Amino acid sequence: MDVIVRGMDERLHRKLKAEAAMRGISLSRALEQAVRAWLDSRQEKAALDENEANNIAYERMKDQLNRKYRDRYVVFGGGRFLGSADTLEQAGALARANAERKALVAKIGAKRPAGGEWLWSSLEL
Amino acid sequence: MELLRAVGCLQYGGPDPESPVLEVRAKESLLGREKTITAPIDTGFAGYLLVPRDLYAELGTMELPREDFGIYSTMAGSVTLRRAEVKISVGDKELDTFIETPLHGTGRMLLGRRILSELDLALLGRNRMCCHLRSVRKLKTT
Repeated sequence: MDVIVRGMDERLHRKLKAEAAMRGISLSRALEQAVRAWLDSRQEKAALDENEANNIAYERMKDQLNRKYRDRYVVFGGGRFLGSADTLEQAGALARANAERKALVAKIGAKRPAGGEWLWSSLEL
Repeated sequence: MELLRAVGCLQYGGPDPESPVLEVRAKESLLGREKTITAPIDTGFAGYLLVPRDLYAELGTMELPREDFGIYSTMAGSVTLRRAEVKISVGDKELDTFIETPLHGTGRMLLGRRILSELDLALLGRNRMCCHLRSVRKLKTT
């Protein structure tokens, strides 16, 4: 699709052109990548905000969860506790029933390996 | 002793020298989204299935609390990976496990030791094939 951009800041245009040349891509491809990154960053910010709210709600209820929901999955969405479930599938269904597209899920009392060693060979972040 | 049979083999992939890879089907339980991934196996990575950020955005719908994220020690310092519940299948083997992606950075595709230790695999290096094995029968040892 053809799009005409009028009134673009000349210095910005020059910088964009130089950067695109340096990366070996066309100006239109560079613009496309910039727009995509901008849209993705907005979506990501919204998702991060929700994650933050879910984590805060989880932290607040942790003592209560440990007492009442041992060995069960607890589900948080939209910054609130949605309920508990026996299985991961039920936990998914619970989040879905609350119109959530993403949720925080924790199995109370389950031991999660903390991490471990990551040798040099494959590290490329 | 045990007799094992190769039930699925995949040609090595990636840049020279090629790496052994496995085909993994990963499914998240919230929206039922499913992806088939070809991931290099990495015995140097202690974790689960590492995926790039964009794939994590699709499959990481049931994320663990921050306190359960994995922290990995590398030669360059520690790296924190976000973690989400998924079901994966490799050949006929199904596992409840996790996908991971870096908290910062784009990430990449890797199958780590916590999944590899659940699988029986054979590397046929000269043929550049990575095979998934299934037990045929137990053999008596004398």
